[in-house]
Amino acid sequence: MGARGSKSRRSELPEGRPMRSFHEALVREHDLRHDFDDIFEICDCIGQGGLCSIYKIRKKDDQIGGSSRPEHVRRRLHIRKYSAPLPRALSNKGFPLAMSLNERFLSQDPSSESNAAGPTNMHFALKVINLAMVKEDKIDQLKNEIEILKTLDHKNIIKAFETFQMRANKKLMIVMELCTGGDLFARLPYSERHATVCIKQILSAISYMHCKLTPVFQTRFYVSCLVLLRY
Amino acid sequence: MSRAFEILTLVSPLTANNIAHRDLKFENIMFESKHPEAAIKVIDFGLSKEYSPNNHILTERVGTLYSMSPETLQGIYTNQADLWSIGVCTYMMLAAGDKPFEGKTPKQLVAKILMGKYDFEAEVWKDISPGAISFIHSLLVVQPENRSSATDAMRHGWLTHATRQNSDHSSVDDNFRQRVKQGIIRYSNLGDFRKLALNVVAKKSTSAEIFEIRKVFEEFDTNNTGTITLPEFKAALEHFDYSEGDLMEIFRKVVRATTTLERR
Repeated sequence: MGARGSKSRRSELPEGRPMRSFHEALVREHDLRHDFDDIFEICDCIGQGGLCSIYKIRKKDDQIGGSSRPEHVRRRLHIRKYSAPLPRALSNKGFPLAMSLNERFLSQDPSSESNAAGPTNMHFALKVINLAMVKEDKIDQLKNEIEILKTLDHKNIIKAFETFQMRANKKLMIVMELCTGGDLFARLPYSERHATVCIKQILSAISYMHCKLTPVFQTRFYVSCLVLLRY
Repeated sequence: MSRAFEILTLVSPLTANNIAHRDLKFENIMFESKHPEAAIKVIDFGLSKEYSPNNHILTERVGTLYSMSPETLQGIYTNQADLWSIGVCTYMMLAAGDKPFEGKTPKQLVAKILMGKYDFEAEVWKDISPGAISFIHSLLVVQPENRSSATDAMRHGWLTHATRQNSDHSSVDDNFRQRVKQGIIRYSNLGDFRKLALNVVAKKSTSAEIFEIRKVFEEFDTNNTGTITLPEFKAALEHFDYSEGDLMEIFRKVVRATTTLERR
């Protein structure tokens, strides 16, 4: 999971407050812009507001390691390493299979890769909050968003993965899950059936936030089970 | 290794969240992907606030005018204000984007919200079921104490009735569901450290990667809270021929990974 940023550190909790969720322990915090450039590259600007702007970003291929490295990268590395270029005479007609395989692997554009369920695991959203125009006393209020996002772990609430707090150029950055389906306006009008499906999910998120009970067993444990099935 | 143990020492029992979103509106509710069944994600916690359970009165007048509750406008409110905003969103979804409260000037809009005056007279409402209208009526209530809470709203007939209809044609493959259930049992027998490692992998994966698994999870989660309680867990694994005690033990072991590791 690329824990190479030695300068990155675990979030420091306000004194006396216990860790809320397992998720909270996994959100990495960084201080340097340099760390960001090492891991991510910006693809697109999605939106811009007064204080903040939202970008679509992508994890650099070489930052994704081990078994979670995407298939196309693994294949490409494999080809570079082990296969000499095909002699032209052979590649023309003699070995159509080899040729077509090579073509397929090498021409795959990582950015076009997506599945029915949504963006791949390499794309994220980045929220950049500009602190330069904000007075000292308001800064804590803006950091509030990070503190709250870290504690929430629910299937219908956006998840934060990494945060960058840079004193030098007064920026606050949050790497989050990317949503590509637009907001509620995007799918107007709603049938009653679709509306109930959406409202239920919104209520589920809100009752989790308002909740006075202990959340017991969350979605992501299932992934643990899936990992077990695979290996 | 050391980093993992650092995490181990960090995790303590899950405690309750007491957070009010304070800016629920159409723009802050997103679809995860373009898929027709894409999950909803609530975004933008810039105005959210954590409050102590003992003193849960909030006073800052923040939010976006069209979805702000009357008590937020007055400056004394609780997390019940979020439920009003959900009422506004439900109204807009069914009315093709028309807002329940509108005014030519902000002042007029505020006056209308404070009176809680809205109607279902537009053409679109003719085809809407009484259940939907009663749901909106239960949320757009000026007195916050008479308004449904999030848990109450989830039990409203309009939502529960729809669930029963949908569950008939489930899109999850039976085989897959079976494998997930077996996976849970195998998972419960792992050592703490392996459990933890798997949890780290799980937390680091994005929603798209767990699309299928989440569907199974939603089947288990019969009361739609986003969490699986012990009774739901028992119901899900019922046909595996485990005794009541065994199921309790499996559940305890599964949950243990993230709740008791702080003892290390």
